[in-house]
Amino acid sequence: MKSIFRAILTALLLFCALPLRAETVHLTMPSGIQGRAAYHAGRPGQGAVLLLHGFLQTGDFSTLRQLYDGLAEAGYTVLAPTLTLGVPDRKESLDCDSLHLNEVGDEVAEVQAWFQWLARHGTGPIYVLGHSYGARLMVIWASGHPDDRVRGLLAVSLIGSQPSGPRLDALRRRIRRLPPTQLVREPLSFCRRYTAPAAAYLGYLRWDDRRMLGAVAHLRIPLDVVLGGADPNLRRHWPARLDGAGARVTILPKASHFMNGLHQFALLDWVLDRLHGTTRS
Amino acid sequence: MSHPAAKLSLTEWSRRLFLAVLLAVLGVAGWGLGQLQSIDREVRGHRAEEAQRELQNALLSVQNQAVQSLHKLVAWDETRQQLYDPGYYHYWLADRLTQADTAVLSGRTVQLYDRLGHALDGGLSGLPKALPAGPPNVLLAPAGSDERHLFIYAPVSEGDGKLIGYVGAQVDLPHVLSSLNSLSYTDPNSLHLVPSTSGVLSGKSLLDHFRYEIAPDTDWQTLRRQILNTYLGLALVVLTGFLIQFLFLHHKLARPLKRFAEKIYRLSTGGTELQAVQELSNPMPLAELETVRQALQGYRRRLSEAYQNLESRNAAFRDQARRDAMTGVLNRRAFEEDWSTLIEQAGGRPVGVALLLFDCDHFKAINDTYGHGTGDHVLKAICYVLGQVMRSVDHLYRLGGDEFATLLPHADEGQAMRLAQRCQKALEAHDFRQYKLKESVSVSIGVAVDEVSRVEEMTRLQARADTAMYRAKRPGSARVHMHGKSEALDSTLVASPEVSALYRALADPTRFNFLYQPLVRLSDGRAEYHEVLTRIGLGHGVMGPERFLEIVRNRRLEKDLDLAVLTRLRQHLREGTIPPGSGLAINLFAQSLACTDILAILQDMACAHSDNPFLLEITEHALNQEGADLAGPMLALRQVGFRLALDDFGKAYSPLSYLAELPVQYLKFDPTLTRQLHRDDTRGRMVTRFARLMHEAGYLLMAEGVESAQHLARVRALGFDYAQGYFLGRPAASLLPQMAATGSMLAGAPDGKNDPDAVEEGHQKAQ
Repeated sequence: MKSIFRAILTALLLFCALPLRAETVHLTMPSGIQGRAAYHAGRPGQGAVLLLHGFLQTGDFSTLRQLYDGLAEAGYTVLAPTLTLGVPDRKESLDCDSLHLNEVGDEVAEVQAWFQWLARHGTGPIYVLGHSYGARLMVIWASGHPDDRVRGLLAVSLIGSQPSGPRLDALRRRIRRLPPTQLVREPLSFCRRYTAPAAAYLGYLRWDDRRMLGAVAHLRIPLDVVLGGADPNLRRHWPARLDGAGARVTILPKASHFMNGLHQFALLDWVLDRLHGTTRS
Repeated sequence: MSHPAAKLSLTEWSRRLFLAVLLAVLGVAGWGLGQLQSIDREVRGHRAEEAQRELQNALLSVQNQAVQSLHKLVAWDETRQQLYDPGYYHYWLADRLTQADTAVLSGRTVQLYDRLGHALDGGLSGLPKALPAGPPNVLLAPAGSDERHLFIYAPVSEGDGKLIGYVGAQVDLPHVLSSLNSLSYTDPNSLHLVPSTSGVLSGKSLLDHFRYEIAPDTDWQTLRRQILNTYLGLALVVLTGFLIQFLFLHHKLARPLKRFAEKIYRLSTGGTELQAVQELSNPMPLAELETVRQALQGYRRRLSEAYQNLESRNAAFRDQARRDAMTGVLNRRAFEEDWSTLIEQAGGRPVGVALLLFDCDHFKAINDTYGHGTGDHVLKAICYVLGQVMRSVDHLYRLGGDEFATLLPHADEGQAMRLAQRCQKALEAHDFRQYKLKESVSVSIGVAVDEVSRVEEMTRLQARADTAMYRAKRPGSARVHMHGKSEALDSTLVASPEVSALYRALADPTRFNFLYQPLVRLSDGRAEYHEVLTRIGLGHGVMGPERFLEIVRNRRLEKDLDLAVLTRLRQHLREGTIPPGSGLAINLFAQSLACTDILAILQDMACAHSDNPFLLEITEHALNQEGADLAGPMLALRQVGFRLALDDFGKAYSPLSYLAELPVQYLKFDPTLTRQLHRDDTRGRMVTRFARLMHEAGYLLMAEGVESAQHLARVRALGFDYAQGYFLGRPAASLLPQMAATGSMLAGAPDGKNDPDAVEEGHQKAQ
């Protein structure tokens, strides 16, 4: 009953806050193409949050958008970029069958570019938040770009690599034998036929669970992870392994991978709680 | 059948009506087809307008959709991706481009151009390798290329407006238009573009470069076909219906009516009435016609009844005309008709015919003695008896008076004779006393048989039968006489110069010549009268009474003769040929006393020539037959001055009681009696006594045939008052005044030179 009341209240707040919402900012990425992001300037000193979308999605994805609106309402400066994925000024999600010419390094560079942009425009501490593959990319970026201005990393639905295990190993071996520019259509994340040059595809395969957990373990900032209890992609030992790597793991019972429905509010509460806790600390 | 009034027949009316309906149906069909053609033109015009409008809208729609699709392509992330990194441009064109949501551009080819307008990868599609100059949105294909396509171009920019390239698309307009399924009035297959010389089109002028055909309006075509089928069906139904009706009416009305009219026409023209009547008895198929037929039948029945009634009346009239009213047997007219019929039925072939003539002997005397009632009974009895004897097929004819006849076709002489004898026996056996007759009644029968083939031969056969009948009447005859073929005919009954002369004289009395013989009064020897003796010219000679009187009697021409002679005699008197004061003794048949014309002439003569004493010598023989009912006329003649004498007295049979009733004053003894007077035998004495008796009875006696002085002395001695004869005077051709001189007649002998024929007449009279 309490949660329902809160949901209604939050919905009213979101409705009232809509006119205050984001502006679109463009930024030339290190690759030379133009990227775009939604940006909301929060209360000075309140802190800024960099939100990163999931696999092939945009910064306007619904899960991220709820967080964006909630954080903006809470007074945080929020920046939700859309990774170009090799597409200038990309506005829509890409299909699995679309040409994926980008590599993991390109994405990390774009996160770094947007972080620098946020660091230049924001006030107060900076928090980074990623959803799904965005959480994995944030871990990769944070592990490779430690910065004191980052107070914490919130990973929503940070799940293990897909594919994984022996299949991943076999796939990597097969892809390695292909010419780097040859287009392949192989499974990646939720795509069964991810189309990309072999070299670019292989770059994603390299970030398997062991390497991801290693990166988590070496993070210099707190890592709070929230997982959906009903996420079908959540393997059984993955929360424990994250916890083992130093992450604080929270599981929202019955929540899906995208934390939709009422779980969106639980997720927002969880994020706000973590941001307040981190700020107080 | 040709009717007098040339009206149109029902069949002709029906034929014309059928043609009229046919023309009407064709007219309506033609009008309907004309209306359909008009509607068709309107529909085509409307469809042309609609097609133009539709095509205009469709082109605008396609253009808009193509532009929208192109803009989608421009806004598509992957388009910008290719402009940024065309490394996998082929893959993108072949694989990814099909995934784009640009349905209107299906069937198109897309070409990306860099910001300088150069096609990526050198141009892989049918689009120009370099972007056309200027920024047109719509271009026509250049000449020589596919005319079906429309090229459209749009720039591609990044989010900040930076131009990064162009997108060109080639649209297969007919394909797109047809795929839109929005063309109702335009045939998509007929669409094609006419290349523009400029190569540049604005959106609105695009239609001007289209050539197209109007799509057939299937609905209208279907409706038109259905209307035509309906028209055709209706026309067929109407024509079929009318044809059936025509045939029905022809069969049930026209043909019966035509036959009906033909029957009535045949009835009216007197054709085969029986067949027509039988056909009229067949019922008519239609009630109205049946009513007419029944009415006509009723009318015809009544007409037939009236006709039959009229026929029966006519038959009765004919029968009455053919029958004798008193006896009921057929009359002379029927006799002549049946004779003609018999000859006609023979067809020109000779047919044997027997003619039986029946004549009642002394019927005149019976009639006079017992009256006409008794005479009629006698005639009826004769007819009854003969009818009983004759066969049913034989007819009895009353030719006149007491003369009857019957014709026996195909009978020979034996058969005819046997029938005549049977008739005679039957008549003899009949008791005529039941009619209060005291004498027996006999009938003389003359029979003649001959082969005849012409109507005119009746005269000869009848003459032969007449001859036979007169021979049967001879005293001592068996009353039945067959006239043999070799037997001579009675000359008075056949055509002869004498008969012809007589008839010519009767028609022209001037042909009569007169001789005058004196009739001397013995008391003074004066010729008080001259007997008028009649002669008829015959060729170069003359015909005396001995010849023409027999013809007159046999042909019953007594009245005609007297009328002609008196007419001629009156003419002589008027002309003064006869000297005034001359007494004339005129012979007159008793029959003439019943003739008013003759009586009128006599009275006229008496009045006009009162100074001429007239003595009428009426023949005793004729008087026996006719005299009883002539007493009145005789008295009337006496009153006007005529003196009456009974001529040829003693020659015939005259009962004294009958004689006493006659108002005659003179008895003129026949020469045969006169010659008996001087004989001293029984006959002489009886005549002498008779003469004295008559003299004593008061009659004045005249002696005719005084040929000698002895005769004259004898008649004087017997007290005769007048004498006539050659001794006293021969007939003379003229009557001179001196001939009336007294005394000379008794003193001189007759010269006999005046008329040679008179001498002969005197001899005959003496005989």
